Amino acid sequence: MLNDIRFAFRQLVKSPGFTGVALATLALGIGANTAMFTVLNAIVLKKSPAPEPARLISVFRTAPQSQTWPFSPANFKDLRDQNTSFSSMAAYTWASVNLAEPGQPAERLAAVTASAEFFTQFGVSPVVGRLFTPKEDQAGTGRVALISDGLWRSHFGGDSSVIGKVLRIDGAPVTVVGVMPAIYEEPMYFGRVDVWEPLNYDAKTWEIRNNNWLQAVGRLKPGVSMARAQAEMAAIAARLEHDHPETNAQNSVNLVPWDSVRQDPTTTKIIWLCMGLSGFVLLIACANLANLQLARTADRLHEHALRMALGASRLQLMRQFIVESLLLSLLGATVGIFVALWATRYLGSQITITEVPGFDLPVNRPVLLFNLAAAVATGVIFGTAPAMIASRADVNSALKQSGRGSTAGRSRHRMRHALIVCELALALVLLGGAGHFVNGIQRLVKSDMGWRPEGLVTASLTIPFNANYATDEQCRAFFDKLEARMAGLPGVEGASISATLPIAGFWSSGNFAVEGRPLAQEGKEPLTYYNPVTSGYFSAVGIRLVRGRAFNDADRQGRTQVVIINESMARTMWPGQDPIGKRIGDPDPANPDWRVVVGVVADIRALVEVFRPADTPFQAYRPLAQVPGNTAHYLSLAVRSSAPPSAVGAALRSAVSGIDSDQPVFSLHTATESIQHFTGGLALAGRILSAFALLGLTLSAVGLYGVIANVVAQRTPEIGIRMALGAQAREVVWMVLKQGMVLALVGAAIGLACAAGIIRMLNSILPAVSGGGPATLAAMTAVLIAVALIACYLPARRATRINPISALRSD
Amino acid sequence: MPPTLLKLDNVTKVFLTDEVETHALSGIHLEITKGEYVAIAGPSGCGKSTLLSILGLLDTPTDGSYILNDRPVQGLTPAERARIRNREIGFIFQSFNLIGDLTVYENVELPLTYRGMPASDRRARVEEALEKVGMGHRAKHVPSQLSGGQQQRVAVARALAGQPAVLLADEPTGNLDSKNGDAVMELLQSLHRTGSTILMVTHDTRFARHADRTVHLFDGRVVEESAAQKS
Repeated sequence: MLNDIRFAFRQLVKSPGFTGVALATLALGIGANTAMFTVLNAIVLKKSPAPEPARLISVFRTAPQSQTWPFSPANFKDLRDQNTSFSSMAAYTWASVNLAEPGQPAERLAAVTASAEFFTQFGVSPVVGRLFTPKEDQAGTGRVALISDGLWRSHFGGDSSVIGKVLRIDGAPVTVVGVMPAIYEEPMYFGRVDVWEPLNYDAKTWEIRNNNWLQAVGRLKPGVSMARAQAEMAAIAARLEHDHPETNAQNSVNLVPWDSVRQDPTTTKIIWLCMGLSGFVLLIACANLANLQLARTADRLHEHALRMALGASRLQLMRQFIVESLLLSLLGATVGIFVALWATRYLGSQITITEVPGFDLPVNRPVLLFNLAAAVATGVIFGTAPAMIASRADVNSALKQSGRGSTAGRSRHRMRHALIVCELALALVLLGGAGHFVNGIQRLVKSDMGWRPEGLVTASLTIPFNANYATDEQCRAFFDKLEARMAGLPGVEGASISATLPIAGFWSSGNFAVEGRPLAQEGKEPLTYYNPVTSGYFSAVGIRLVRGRAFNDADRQGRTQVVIINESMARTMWPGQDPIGKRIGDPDPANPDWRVVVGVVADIRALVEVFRPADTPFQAYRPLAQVPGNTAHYLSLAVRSSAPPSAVGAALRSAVSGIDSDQPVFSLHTATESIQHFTGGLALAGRILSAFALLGLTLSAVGLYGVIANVVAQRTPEIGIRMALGAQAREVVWMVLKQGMVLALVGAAIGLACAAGIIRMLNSILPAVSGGGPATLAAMTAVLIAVALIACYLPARRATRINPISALRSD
Repeated sequence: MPPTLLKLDNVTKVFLTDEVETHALSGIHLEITKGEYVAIAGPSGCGKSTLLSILGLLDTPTDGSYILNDRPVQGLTPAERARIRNREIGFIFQSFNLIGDLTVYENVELPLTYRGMPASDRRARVEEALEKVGMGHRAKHVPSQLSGGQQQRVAVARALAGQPAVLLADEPTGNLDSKNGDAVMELLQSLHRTGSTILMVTHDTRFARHADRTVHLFDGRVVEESAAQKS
C-alpha cells in the first residue's frame, strides 16, 4: 500500500497539468458541498443544547386551518394536568416590551414569558444569579426577570452586580434575578430574547378557554414513544372538544420534536434542495475527473499491461488506481476546506435571522467529517471506472505497439461520452433550477402585490399592557393622537395605524357568516383574514378602493360596525350583486356581531404567502376604532411621504415619543427594505443556486472541452488522413463539432427532463416563486448549448491546424 | 512524347529546428510525364518522404517551383491545396491509414464525399475501385477485420476512386510480408498498364525495378536517375 501511495504521489507530481486541473475541480466541488453542509449543519441539523433533546416535544393545537396553533390557558392546563406521557409541560409566549429608563430613549425589548417548568425542561443554568423561585411563578408577586447575555453585556457591561437591579419595563419596575446563557439567544435557538419573565397568571387568566396564545413544550417521560404520547394527547383533546364544543370544536393536538420546529419548513426544504444540488456539482466534478482519469488510462495502457505481464493481479492494479484517486480527492478536499471557509464567511454575512444581520456558520467537527466522507466517496466514484478499465487491459495487444495501419475504434470512447452526457444533463438541471428560482424571485418582487411599497416608510410599535393602556378608551386616545401627529409629518401623502402590514400578512383569521344565508356546517364555515386599520390605511399602503368607501372618522365604537372586504370575497359571496350594505358576522347565531360592508378593495398578496400559501382568498378590514383596544397592542405604522425616509423616520419617532416617551418605535424601514429583508433569504438561495449552476456549467464545459480535445488528439492521425485526402478546414471543424454537439444535445435532452422535475419540486416548495417555466428552461438550454459549442469549437479549430504530415508520421 | 504532368524546378526544403537548419531537399529537378511509373529510392533520411509530401501538396517547398498539370501550385492557399489533393492526387501510405471507425466502402468513398459528388456517382466509383483491387466482397467490413495486404488494397482503391492524375505511393509494401507485398506491387503494375501515373517511394530495389524510371536520392539531392531494366 505504501508503494502504491508513493507511486501515486509520483504520478501526480509527474503530471502537474492534470493534477492542477483535478485539484481545482475537487476543491470547487467538495468545497461547495462542504460549505452547503456547513449551512445545513448550522441551521437544520443543529440540536438543542437541552439535555436529552429527543425527549423535548412541541405541543400544538390543530384545527382544519392549521396544525401549529397555540393553546388557550385553560386548554393548556387541562392537557398538562391530564396527561401521563410527559414528565412536565411548560407554557410560554412571546412578547414585545418597552424598556424606558428615566432620561434615556425608550427601547423595545423582545421577551419570553414562560412557566417555571420551561427552565427545568431546558436545563437552564443562569450565568449569573438564579432562576425564578416557586413563589415568583405565582400571581401577585413583584415582577422579576432573567435578562439575556446580550442585554447584560450591552447595557451592564457584563457586570455581575446587575443582580438586584431594577429595570423599568412597560412602565413597571422589574428586578433582575439572573442572566440567561448566551446560547438561548442564538438565531437558531430562540433568537433575540432580551428578557425572560415568569408566567405568573392569576386564576382568572388560567380559566380563559376562548383565546389562544400559549405555546407548549413538554418533556416525554423516559420510555414513552411519540406515538403513545400523541394518542393520549389526542384522546384528551377529544374529551375537551366534547366538554367545550363552543371553543374546542375540531381542535386536536399535534406533537412535533422540538428540534424540528425551530426551523421554517420552507427554509428547511430550500436548504436541503441546495444541498442536493450541490451534490450535482460534485457529481459533475466526479464525472470530469473520471474522464480525465480515463484519458490517462488510455495513455498508460502500456504501463498497466506491463504490470500485469509482471504478475500484478487485477485487484492490485485497481487498488493502485483507486489509491491515486483517493490521494487526489483528499488533497482536493483539503483545499476545499479553504473554499468552504471563504464561502461560509460570505454566506454567514448575508444571512439575517429575526432582523439580526450575520450568522455564524462554523466549520466544525461534523463539517470536517462530512468533508472527509465527501473526499473518500469522490475518490472512489471517479477512480473506480478508470481502474476497472485499466485492469481489463489486453496484455498482449497493449504490449505490442500499434502495428496496424488503421485508427482506433470508437468503443473506448463510449464511457467518456456517457460521462460527459451526464455532466451536461446535470449542468442543465442546475441551470434550469437556478434560472427558474432567480427568475421567479425577480418576478415576485416586480409583480403587482395589490399595494404599493414605493415611497412607504413602515415601523412597529408595542402598546404595553399597563395601567396607562388598560382600557379601550385609553388605547383609542393614543391612536387618535398618533394618527393626528402622523398626518402632520413632512411630505406626508397618507398615514395609517394598523395591526399589521401586507409584508407580514394579516392580523388574524376567523370564520364568518353571511346575513340571510344558512350557516355552514360546523368546521366548514368560510374563513377570512382580518386586519384592524385606521381610515388612512388604504391610501397610505396603496390598496385600490374598487367600490364603496374607505373608513372614516365616523366609524367608531358605538356606531354601526363596518367592514371592508376584498374583491375575492365580494365575487364569491355576492356574485353579480353589489356587496355594499350587505352584512357579515361571526358564525354564532346567538351573537353574530354583524358588520356592514361599506367598501370593496383590491386583493393583496402578503409577502408571507411566499413561504406559506394563504389559508383563504378572503380578506377583510375593520376600523381599528371598532376593535377592542386591548386586542391591538402590537401596531404597524405606515407613512407614505415624498420626504426622505430618514427624515420621515426621525419625525415618526419624535411624534410617538411626543405622546408617550416610554413608547419606542422599532423596525423602522422603508417598505422596499422590508421586502428585501423578507426575500433576502430567497435571494441568497438564488445566488447559491446560481453559483452552483455556474460552477456546474463551467465544470461540464471544461469536461466537454477536455473530451473533445482528447478526441482530437486521439483522432489526429485520422484527421491527418482526411486532410491528406482533401478535407477542407470547415469539414474538419464540422466533424469535430458534430461529435461534441451530439453529446451536448443528448445531455441537454436528458437534462431537460430532469430539470422539469426539479422545477416541479421548486414549485411545490415555493408555489409563489414561479420562474417562467418553459421559456426559462429554453433560455437555459440555449446557454448550455452555446457554452458547449464554444467548448467544442476551440479543439475543433485546433484540429484544422494539424499538420497532415506529422499526423501521418505519428501514426 | 506524353505531356509533362508534374515538374519540380530547383526545389529545396529547409527545416529549422532549434536554430539549426536542416536541408532536407536541395535543388531538386524532377519531371514526370503522364502515364509514367517512377520510383524514388534512397536510404533512410535521404529526403524521399519530404519529396513525396511536397509532391502531394502536404508540404510546401522552401524555394523553387512546382507545376502540376500545367499549374504552379507552390503558392496556393491551404484550401486550394486541399482541393487539388482531393481531385488530382491519390495517396497510398506505408501504414495504409484507413479510418478504423469507417467500413471499407466508407473509407474508399471518403475523398469523393469531400468533393461533393452525388451519392449515386460515389457508389459507382467506389464499387468500381473496390472491384479493381479485388475487395468488392469486403465492402462492409471494417479495417480491423482485414489482413494487412487487404487493408493496403483498400487504400489503393481509395486512392483510385477519385481518378487522380497521379498516384503517390509511400513505401506501399513497407508493412507487408513478401507475399502481400508482391501482390500490391502487381496491383500497381496493372494500374500503370491501364494508364495511371504512379510515383512510388521505396528503399527496396527489388520493387523499384517495377518502375519505368528510378530517381535515386541521397542527402536531399538527386544523385542518379536510371531507367528500369525490365526483363
